[in-house]
Amino acid sequence: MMTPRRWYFLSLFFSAVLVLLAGALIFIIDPLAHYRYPSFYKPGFIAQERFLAPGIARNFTYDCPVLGDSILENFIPSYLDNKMAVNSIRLLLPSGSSYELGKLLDIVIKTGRAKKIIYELDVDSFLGEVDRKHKIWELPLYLYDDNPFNDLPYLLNISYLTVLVPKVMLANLFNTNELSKNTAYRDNRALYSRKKIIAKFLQVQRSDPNLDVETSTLEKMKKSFAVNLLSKIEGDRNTAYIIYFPPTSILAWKYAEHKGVLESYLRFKKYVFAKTSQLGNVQIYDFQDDEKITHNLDNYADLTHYSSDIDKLIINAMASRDNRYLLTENTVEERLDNLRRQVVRLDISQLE
Amino acid sequence: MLFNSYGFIFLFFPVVFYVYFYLHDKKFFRTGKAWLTGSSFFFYAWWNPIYLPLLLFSISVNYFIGLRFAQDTNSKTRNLFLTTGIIFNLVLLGYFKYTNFFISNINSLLGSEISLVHLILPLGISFFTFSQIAYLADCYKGRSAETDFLNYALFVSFFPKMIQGPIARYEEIAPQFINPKNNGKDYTNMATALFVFAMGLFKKVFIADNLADWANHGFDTAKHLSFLAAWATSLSYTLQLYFDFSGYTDMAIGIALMFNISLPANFNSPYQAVSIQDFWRRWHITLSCFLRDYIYIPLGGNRRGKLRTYLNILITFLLGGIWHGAGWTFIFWGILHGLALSVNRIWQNLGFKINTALSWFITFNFVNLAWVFFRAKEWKDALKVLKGMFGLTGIVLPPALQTRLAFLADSGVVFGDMFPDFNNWRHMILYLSICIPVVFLAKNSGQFKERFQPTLQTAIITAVLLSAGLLSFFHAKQFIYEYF
Repeated sequence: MMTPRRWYFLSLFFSAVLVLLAGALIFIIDPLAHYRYPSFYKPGFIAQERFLAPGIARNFTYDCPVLGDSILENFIPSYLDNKMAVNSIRLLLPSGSSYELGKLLDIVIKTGRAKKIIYELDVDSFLGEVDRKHKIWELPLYLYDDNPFNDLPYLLNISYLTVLVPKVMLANLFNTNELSKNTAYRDNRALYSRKKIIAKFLQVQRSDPNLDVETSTLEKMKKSFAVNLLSKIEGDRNTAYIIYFPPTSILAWKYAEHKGVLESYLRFKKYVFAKTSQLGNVQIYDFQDDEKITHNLDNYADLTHYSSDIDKLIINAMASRDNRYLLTENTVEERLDNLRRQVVRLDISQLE
Repeated sequence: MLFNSYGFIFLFFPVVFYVYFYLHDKKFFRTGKAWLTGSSFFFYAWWNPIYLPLLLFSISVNYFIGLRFAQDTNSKTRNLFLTTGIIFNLVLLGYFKYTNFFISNINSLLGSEISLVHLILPLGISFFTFSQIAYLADCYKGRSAETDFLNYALFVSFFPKMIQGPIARYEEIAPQFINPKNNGKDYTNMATALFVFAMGLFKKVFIADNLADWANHGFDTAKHLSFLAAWATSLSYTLQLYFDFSGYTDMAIGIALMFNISLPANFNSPYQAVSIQDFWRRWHITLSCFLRDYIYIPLGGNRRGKLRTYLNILITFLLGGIWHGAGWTFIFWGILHGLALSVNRIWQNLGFKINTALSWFITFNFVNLAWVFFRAKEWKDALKVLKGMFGLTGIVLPPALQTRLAFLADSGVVFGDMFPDFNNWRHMILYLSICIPVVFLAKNSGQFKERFQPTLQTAIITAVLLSAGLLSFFHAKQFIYEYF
């Protein structure tokens, strides 16, 4: 027993010590590599990329970052390294909007490390307002800026302390594949099936009968593109940019037609080409009208996510500057018309 | 401003606390009271300054009606003032809380298209309105009214209890502000207060906020729920509600005790109740007392025959349901509890008795099922959860059991993902496995408070709870662990 006064201050003192210890532990171990590249352990891909990506972008060594949304989930950086003689790193934000990816791109540009930046351009990510963020997966903005005064959510966070710190330590102890930059998230053959993706398409089509399509879709996309990507490329003319339109399944395009945004999407692609082709430091590849990929539904886990084999095909094409995919002034119109024709003539009932 | 925020804990509270007792040390007691009242108004206005005048208006009107009771002995005038006062409070509450509910029901009934009113529900309006109705009713019954406006304003607005209760009565609170014993810091109270606050903070941010993720997914996001997922959803919410509300109340009790003010207890292990009547003696106790003393008893209570008693119970709980929220699901929840209490009363009147464990089991399951309606935003959400709980959407078991229990597949049991899209469902199982025995068997924070001793052991426990709570404010939710 002690006096209540002594007990009161002792409890407050113990509490302060515990909180400070927790903060110090997170600062020292820095499981998200927010402050530095770890010196006494190997950093791990141990959390959702929205939390990991800013630290990777800021503190890892690379010269060719690959940015994009979850479509990049099976992208294998080491394969790219071999094919293009670069030191790449994958920076993906699941369901990332162009605004969110823009925040990540800002970090990359600020480091000045990138000689070449590959940007996987998912047209959907440019939908909505210029500063659209994911509705549920809040972007931890305190990890995306250099302001040390808003780092409390990182330093005083029991989730990081009890989950990420042990996770990264265990990954090092057992040398798990979480330590590899090639870790693929969903590259499991069992996930890919034609039957599954058709069922998925029919489900989304049925569950969304009254789609709220804005008439200003195209204008908003253009605006988002101008602010969240084009302006950043224009300000970074010494870096080479490769932008590619990923080969999402033909059903993803059929769904766009169902929503009434197919023409907006196609015009947006044309706009992206028109704006970036003038810059001189940008190459654009388009894989979206290659029927061999997009019509083979066994390549997909859902409407948009494909296997790592397709990623390899993309890398091969970019490494060899494959003219079948590289967009030029002469081919852009024809390529877009080709995609439009494929979508319009696709008969879902024949797929079932 | 929330109790569980750094702004409150590291800025607002220390400043209010130290200035208050500094003024006491200098014998400026009335200035101290004014400081505490002003701070409470600031606390309220922090949320939305627009509604501070509303609070002041409500306080002023009720204060003056109370004064009239003190000055007037004419029973007719007193009746008139009581009626006016109650109508004023109910209109205020009704306008902000029920206008849109009323309009939307009129629209669906008559097919009209009356526009909804753009209103933000003033924080704590249900609590400060009920406190003041109770005050007027007590003054009417002859208790002397408060003549000092500052005392009255502090009683209504005292920040620890204003937003979520407990619904303290005037005579429980106001005399403590003028009791000379309560002048100056009291480390015995402060130690107990810190202990209780730490328990409350831990319950709220470490337990309830985590459970909320799974309950929210099950109720709001999931398209359908299989048997186990539905039970996990309903139990997560049942536990979340208890730990959230009782945790917040513990924090309120702790903060008030720092100022040497004892607030009434609001929870007493409600999920250990062995009958629905017992449940309402343990759950939101101050609301139950209010409903009993100011609705049930004035309606006649049990003094007008059995049928009238049952009707009175039903009316009381119907109003209790409406008080909780403007929606048919709340009303239905109130009716369910009213019916259950009536059945409980009939059962007692008939002299039936059942095994205590069975009685507890029935009570808990009823409460758990009824919470489904309380939580669901729409009927379809409630039905989704209930269908799952009753096995109407099938049973899914883990694939690991498939070889051993393959024969169940013929009965429609599926082996696969038991909790699809429940983020971190293993944590959910862990939380439920720990919290369920705790609420069923363990002592509650009120009992721990009574037994509190300033020892090294309690200091360490307090520090662990407090620091775990402080480190949970930025709980990154499920999303940091989850991939896609």
